[in-house]
Amino acid sequence: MKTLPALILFLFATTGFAQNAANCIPANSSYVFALNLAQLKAKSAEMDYSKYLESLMPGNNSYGYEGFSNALCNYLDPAALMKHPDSFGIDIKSYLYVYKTSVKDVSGTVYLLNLSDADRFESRLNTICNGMDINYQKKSLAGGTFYLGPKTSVAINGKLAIVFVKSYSYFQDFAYETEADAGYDSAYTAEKQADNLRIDSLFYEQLNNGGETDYDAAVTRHQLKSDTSIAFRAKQRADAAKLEAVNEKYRNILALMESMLQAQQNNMLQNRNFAALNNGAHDAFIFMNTMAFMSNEYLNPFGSLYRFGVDEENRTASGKKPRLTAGISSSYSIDFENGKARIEFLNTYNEHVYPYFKKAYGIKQDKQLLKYIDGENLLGYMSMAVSSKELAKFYEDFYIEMLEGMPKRKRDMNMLPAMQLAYAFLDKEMLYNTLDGRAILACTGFTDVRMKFSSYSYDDEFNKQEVTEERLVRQPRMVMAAAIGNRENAKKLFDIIGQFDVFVKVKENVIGYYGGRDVPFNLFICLTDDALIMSNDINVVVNPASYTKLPKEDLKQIMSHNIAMKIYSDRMMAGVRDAYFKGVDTMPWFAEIMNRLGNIEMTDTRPSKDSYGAVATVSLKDGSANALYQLLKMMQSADGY
Amino acid sequence: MRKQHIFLLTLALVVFSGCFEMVEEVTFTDKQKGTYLLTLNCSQSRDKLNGLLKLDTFMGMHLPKTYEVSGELSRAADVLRRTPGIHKVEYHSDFRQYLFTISFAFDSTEALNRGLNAAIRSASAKQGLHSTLIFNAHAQGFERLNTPGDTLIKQSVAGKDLSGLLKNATYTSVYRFKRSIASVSNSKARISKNGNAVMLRHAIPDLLKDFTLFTNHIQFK
Repeated sequence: MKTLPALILFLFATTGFAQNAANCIPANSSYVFALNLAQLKAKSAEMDYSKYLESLMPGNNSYGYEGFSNALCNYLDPAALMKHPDSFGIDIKSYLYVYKTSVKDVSGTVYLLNLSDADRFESRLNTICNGMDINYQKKSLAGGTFYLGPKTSVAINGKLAIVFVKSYSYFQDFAYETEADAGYDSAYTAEKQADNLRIDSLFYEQLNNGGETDYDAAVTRHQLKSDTSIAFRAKQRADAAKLEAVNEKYRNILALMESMLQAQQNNMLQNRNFAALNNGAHDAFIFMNTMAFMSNEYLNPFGSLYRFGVDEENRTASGKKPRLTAGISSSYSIDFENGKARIEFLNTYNEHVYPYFKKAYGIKQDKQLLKYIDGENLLGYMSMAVSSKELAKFYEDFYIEMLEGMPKRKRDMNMLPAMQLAYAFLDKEMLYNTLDGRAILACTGFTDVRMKFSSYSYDDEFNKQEVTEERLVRQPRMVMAAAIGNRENAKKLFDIIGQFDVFVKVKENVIGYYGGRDVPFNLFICLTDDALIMSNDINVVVNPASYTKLPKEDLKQIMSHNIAMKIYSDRMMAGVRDAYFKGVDTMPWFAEIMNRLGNIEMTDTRPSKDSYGAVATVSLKDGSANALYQLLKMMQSADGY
Repeated sequence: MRKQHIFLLTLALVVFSGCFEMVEEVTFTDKQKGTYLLTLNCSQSRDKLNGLLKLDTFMGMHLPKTYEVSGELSRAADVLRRTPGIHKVEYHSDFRQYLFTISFAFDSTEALNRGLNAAIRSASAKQGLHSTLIFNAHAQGFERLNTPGDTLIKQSVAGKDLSGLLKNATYTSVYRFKRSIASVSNSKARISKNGNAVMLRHAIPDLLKDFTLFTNHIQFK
């Protein structure tokens, strides 16, 4: 029994910091990205994976208003940090978290790090930039040491560090960047006017020196001149305002960073979906807090409604409680195993969503579609069986709730009923049940397609004339077979589409579009009794349903999943090589990929009461080496490094 | 840095497209003056180019973006406009058909050489190409002598077996004169029916091995 407390203590000691770090992530963060640097380092062996993470590194993002601040010096060299994190004193066994936060007028990206050696981390911060001392603000407070900068700020408290990269936007930084720089204020105007009225002012002296012929123009011209002390005082005031604005910015950043270093009362670990991911020991994961994303006025997809609201017009809150949108989130995790990379996608929702999904995903793939897919030459497929009609019901209610839930200005009030009115007039049967949501898209080898192109002919005098010629182009043979829900509607639409002059009637139930000089593909559409078939190969649609059956394993996957995807990489790559690189002897990069890459597969899981997901695997032929190492090898050869 | 490599980048793009036609036309309007038109037609390979232009690198070589190609054409046109003896510079790029042309009028063969050398140098600033005598005109005839950047092109494709990729790529030159042609030194060259124009066509893989295939001495009657 004595061992139990020791065991608990040991567990606490080994997992405590990771737990503490995640405790600091606010529950309303719109996303959290986590990297297990130790695992990635071990699995990549001598290969450098960090360059593929460059876009995620602190200070490397630059969008719009952020751009100007990129020239500023940063306390951290982000590339070096990601390349050699352990040399920065970072505890690479714990997750490195990246999340987005927005509090009042300060928003940005937070990099949350566990430290193994805080002194070393602090010593690696840049203090000199472009040959000059970085003279931003450093504060040592009870809550930690803070290095504050206009773009990147760093805070250290014990074994925890955060790097905060501030986002700049016109709306958030209006006060700092625009008004403070304006230069002349109303006091300057008032002082200048008072000065102009003095009988011995520069204005009067110059105006009345006898040299002016156009009096009105002279008044305007000389009014601009004034005692330099007035401009000096105005400049002093402007400088003071600017300093105050900068100080206020730093105060806000400091307050935010102080709060971010503390365990949050409402933290992300309280979210069961995030907690499950966090405990999953994944190599990397990203958690999308969809609900928080949508409720953040700067990040939500309807953000323009707010951004244009800088006029401060009153907005009315709806007061409606979220039903379908409450607690929704999604996540991606990736794990590199020997010979296989596994990517898992999970969409989590509440009990109100489940009935919709149960119905939408409660159907199976239409067996009749399988006969249109050439099993013998199959290179890859994507099968989908989701009831469009049922899914449309969900999205209708979902978007109505989202729109209803947003605070609105007076002029936005009619937006929702107008949209609902327009939607009410739509023929839902035609829209969602002509094709019922069951379809298979497949690549079944390569085919020669006649394509037109521009060339030149020359007359007897060698005058050049542009002519259109044809040649055979090898293209992947693509086939899409979609199940028909309402054949009468399908026939109606097929007949209407066939009347467009770009289509040619090939057979009673087949229309074709022949690509011209500007569109390098052909498209043939065939309506049968049970399916609509589209392909770029006329043979597929002229004589459909005469193919060898699909391999048993693929049949099983297609019929037992709502979404199933597979790419036979070997066959696909061999086809690409023969179609496009025939006669090319040396292509080491292609050989490298062919030698390593195995099949790529994805299948979904049946929707459960609170989640729906899918798992994708990328197989590598060498089952003894880690997938990350092998994938990096392939990327390296393709990049030509 | 990438801009300075644009000559090689464009070359890479063209090479990977596989099937393309380059047509060089020099048309003399009198004994000295004339017009020059260079056409690059990659429309046979536009499905490949559509894919290639979405990539940053391919087979270890950086590929240019469409704006870089347009920018380079515009830069070459600017350089040509600033060259004494060159006028009416026009260029056109069609990224649906992948057709590119650049044309100008020249006052003399010397101006034509100056303009072409300047344009090639601007597109390959880092390589520091030397001016070369491309064309030579004299009272008795006209000569096509050298290809600017031939050494650089050879270096960049050295060790790469591109014969399979480029088997359908051709380079055609057409020279039109106001005088009748008596003879041509290049056995592959053809004289037009009216005797005033010469056409020479070669497969690009052959040219890459031997740029002198384009050398031609044209004698007037």
